[in-house]
Amino acid sequence: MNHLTDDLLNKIIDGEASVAESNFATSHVPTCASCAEKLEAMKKVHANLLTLKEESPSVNFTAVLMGKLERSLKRKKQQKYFVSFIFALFIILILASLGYLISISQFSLSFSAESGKYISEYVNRYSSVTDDLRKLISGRSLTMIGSVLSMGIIITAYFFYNNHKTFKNILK
Amino acid sequence: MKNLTDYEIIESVKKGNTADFALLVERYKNRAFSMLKRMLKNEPEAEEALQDCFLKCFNALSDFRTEAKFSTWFYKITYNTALTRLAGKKRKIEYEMKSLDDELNLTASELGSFEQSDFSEFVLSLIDKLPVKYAAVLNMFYLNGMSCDEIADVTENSIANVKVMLHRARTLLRELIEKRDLKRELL
Repeated sequence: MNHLTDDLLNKIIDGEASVAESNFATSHVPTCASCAEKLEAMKKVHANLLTLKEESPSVNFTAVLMGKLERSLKRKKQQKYFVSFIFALFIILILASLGYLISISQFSLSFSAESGKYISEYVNRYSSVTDDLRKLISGRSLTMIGSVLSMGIIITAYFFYNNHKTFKNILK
Repeated sequence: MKNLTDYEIIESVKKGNTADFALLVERYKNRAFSMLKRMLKNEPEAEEALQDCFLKCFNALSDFRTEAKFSTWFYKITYNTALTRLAGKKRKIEYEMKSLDDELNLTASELGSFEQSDFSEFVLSLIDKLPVKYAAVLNMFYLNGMSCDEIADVTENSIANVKVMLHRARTLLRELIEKRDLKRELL
């Protein structure tokens, strides 16, 4: 004799039983006490699950959360300003260095009717520029520029890494 | 006060009105908390996880596609946050390794302790003993009123798998209730 399977019981509860299955259940249940009990128990489970109630977190949950959110946004803004400041400092340093190089070199060239004289004058000016450049990037100047650049790179890299980590956590 | 839709609130928050996010929090906190409490089996931890969920949600709002349903997207974050926490504490492995039958193999004395309790309390206590994913599916189906389709999206399972989990959980609850009723009859 066929009885109601667990699958059929669930289908009846979910209203997904076919016409044939429903007819079978309707005709079988009155004749089989065991299946009648199973169906009754399943309906009880379903009815009780429908009465599941929501639970609430603590009373000040929203206020605490919004406070955290505000602080997090403020921190992000400060980080953004700091990174922009470092970047701007870089640009200024680079522009200042370029400006200095340009100012120490003399680009005005006097033209001579004789091409040979023109070329040697050009070579002399080029040598003086390279001499000045050599003075700029030697010794203490080089150390100072290197230190500033390294510090800036490290700080910027830290903030980029931090932002990348935060983004990865969001994706998780 | 006009009842704003989820999308209207999200648009407002995206425009910089951070305070409007509190409306979404109020709307979803209870159901998300219920789900987290059932999965993590610990109230303080569930509250902490709930905060994480909302913070993640806020940070990812710019990536939220308005054609998707916000509730499904948010419950997905909630579900994954719970699983991540459990994975971190290694409890997830314990829960996944246990079979549904092992988990609810109550002894006669344990069944006896439920004799006097209200039937609803009995059913609720059994749900709390279910493995994490089954408890989550029951919670989403019955409390959040989500369809199997939506639950499948949240849990990244097929619809068939979700139905199997739902049916198995219900069947097991039914068997335990029958055991309890049978014990009562014998006594």
